[in-house]
Amino acid sequence: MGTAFHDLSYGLGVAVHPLNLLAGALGVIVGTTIGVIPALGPTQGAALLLPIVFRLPPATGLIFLSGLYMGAIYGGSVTSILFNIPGTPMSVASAFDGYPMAMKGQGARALAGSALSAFIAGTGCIVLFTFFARPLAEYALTWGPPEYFSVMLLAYAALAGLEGGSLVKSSISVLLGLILTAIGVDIITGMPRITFGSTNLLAGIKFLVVVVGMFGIGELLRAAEENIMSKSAVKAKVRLADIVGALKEMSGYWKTFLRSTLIGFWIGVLPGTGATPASFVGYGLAKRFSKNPEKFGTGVLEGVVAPESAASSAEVGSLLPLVTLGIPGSPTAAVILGALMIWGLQPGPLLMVDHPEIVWGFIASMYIAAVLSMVLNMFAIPLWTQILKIPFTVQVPLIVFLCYIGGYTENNTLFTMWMVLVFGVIGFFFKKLGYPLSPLVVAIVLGDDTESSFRRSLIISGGNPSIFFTRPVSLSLLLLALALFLFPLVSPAMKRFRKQPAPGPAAETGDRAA
Amino acid sequence: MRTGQILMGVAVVAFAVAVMVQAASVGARWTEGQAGPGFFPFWLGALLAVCGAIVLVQSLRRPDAAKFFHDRTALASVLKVTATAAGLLVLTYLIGFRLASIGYLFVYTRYIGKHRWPAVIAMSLIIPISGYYIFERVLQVALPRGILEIPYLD
Repeated sequence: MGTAFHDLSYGLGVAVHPLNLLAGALGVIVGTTIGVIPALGPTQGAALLLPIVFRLPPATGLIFLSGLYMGAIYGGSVTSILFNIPGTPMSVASAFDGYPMAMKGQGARALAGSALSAFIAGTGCIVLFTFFARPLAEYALTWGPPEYFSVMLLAYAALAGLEGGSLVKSSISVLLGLILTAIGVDIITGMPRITFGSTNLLAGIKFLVVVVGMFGIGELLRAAEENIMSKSAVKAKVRLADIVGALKEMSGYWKTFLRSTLIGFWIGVLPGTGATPASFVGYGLAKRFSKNPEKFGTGVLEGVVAPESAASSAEVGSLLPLVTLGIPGSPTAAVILGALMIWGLQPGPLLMVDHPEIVWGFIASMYIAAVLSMVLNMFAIPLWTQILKIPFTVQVPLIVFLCYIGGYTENNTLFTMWMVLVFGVIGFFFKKLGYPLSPLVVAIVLGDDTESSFRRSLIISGGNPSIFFTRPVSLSLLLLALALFLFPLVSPAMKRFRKQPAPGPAAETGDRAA
Repeated sequence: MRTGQILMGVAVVAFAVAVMVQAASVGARWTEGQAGPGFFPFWLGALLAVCGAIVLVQSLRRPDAAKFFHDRTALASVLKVTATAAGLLVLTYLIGFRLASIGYLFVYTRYIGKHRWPAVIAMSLIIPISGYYIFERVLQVALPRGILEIPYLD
């Protein structure tokens, strides 16, 4: 208890350093801008800005990234509620009830409710985070390669199982990511492999190139196809009365709020899965447990509170495995992991021992970022909605320009720029054909570690694969992985058994197209 | 959409087989008490081939009337973004990224965006020039030079 507060106050000391505070505020502003633009979310935004961010000192850069992270979540909700254009995938569920509220002239109350529930849930989870981080990291110090391999399998299984959609396609996405990292020089023997005879591929395919291509260019192509036009905005200006009113109404939904927060945190902590599935689960559960579920979708504040609090909790939760185990809890956390590696910091249990200022500064800066983004978003909403007026034909060349430079900084060859474009086109086809992209991104970041922990385990056991099943921690992680992987196969059967209308995540995703 | 699913399934299987062949050529077996460099990718490729085959069979069985692009404008706008982005890279090969990006922004905002002249000129100068300033001057990233790069630009 005492140590947790000591750690947090130590982190706050790092985060309120003027330069860091400035970086945090800038991060929130840039993040909100990115969140508002439909073709950009926090994952793409963080990836695009990495070439700039990794030139900052690590503590400052991380604070910038956490500001960006928080800002993007809020920004996404603003456009989701006011325009029915979710700025980020995790804010899709907020539009189910937020947009109908805005249509009824309650936009300001919906926005206040969304910002407040994200803020309160996020704050609560930062406290939870602080309590869990140190024990979990100390526990993880006792792990060997087999445990690490199993926890990475757990990450892939959770991604494939909870993402919704086809299990086979999610698996293809994971496998492709792992194969892409295997291209180039083998990390253990130093032999070149799977280069298809190309010298350009000897250096391997770096995650930045894939992320910038698939998420940056790929999403841009999708936005071009769907022809996102600037819709007429619903006017909204948040006044103090709206905040007080939303707070009063929210106090009646404390059960929904608490449920969403805890579920969101748990989904976030599960390696691999982040805010997007959490927001759908939060919304679905709120509807299932509600006394009048038929009102959901017509514009009730409860339908905004549930996904927002779950998403915000998941975002914080997803940083817990990142900091303590070196396993990202979400695609955005994967990009942050990539940044840590570029700085030469090995995320994992030792990071907390060797660089406490970075870990606790990062955690404290999430708190400051949450405050900053709430203030900015409550009162600057008219300003953010202006961004949507930037014509799409200006957004396209600007984003393409930034994506190319972003990919290029990876190893300074024109070849990487072509790869950005190729991965963009692949990403576009993947999205269209229902292949999820986030498993691929997480697999690319973890690919090298997955392979080396697998091979090192087998070296320890002399080639006997039973090493993964005879160590208790490894075995239980593998069983959990199996359960999560098979979850999508079991859950429809369970629903049929209970003979209930299914308010599951998949059902809601379908509604959004309308 | 069905054709798209089938083609993607074929592409996945083809890529998986290519990976397996490449991995086998560097040693996918167990040698000297440890796995060869091709061991891990070989079995990943094998799993990928299985998954690709399942997708292929599923999409062959399932009728799907939906079109890949819902209309011609959708196809056209995707092609415009892709073609101009590829054009930027071809130009970069010839005259370097700095000049090529000015040309790219000019063509995109004027002929695809159909913005007015003052806006077009402002954007095609401000975005690339501030880009160079941030990346070349502040961050010391040397943007790609072309084979016909004009020397006095440095």
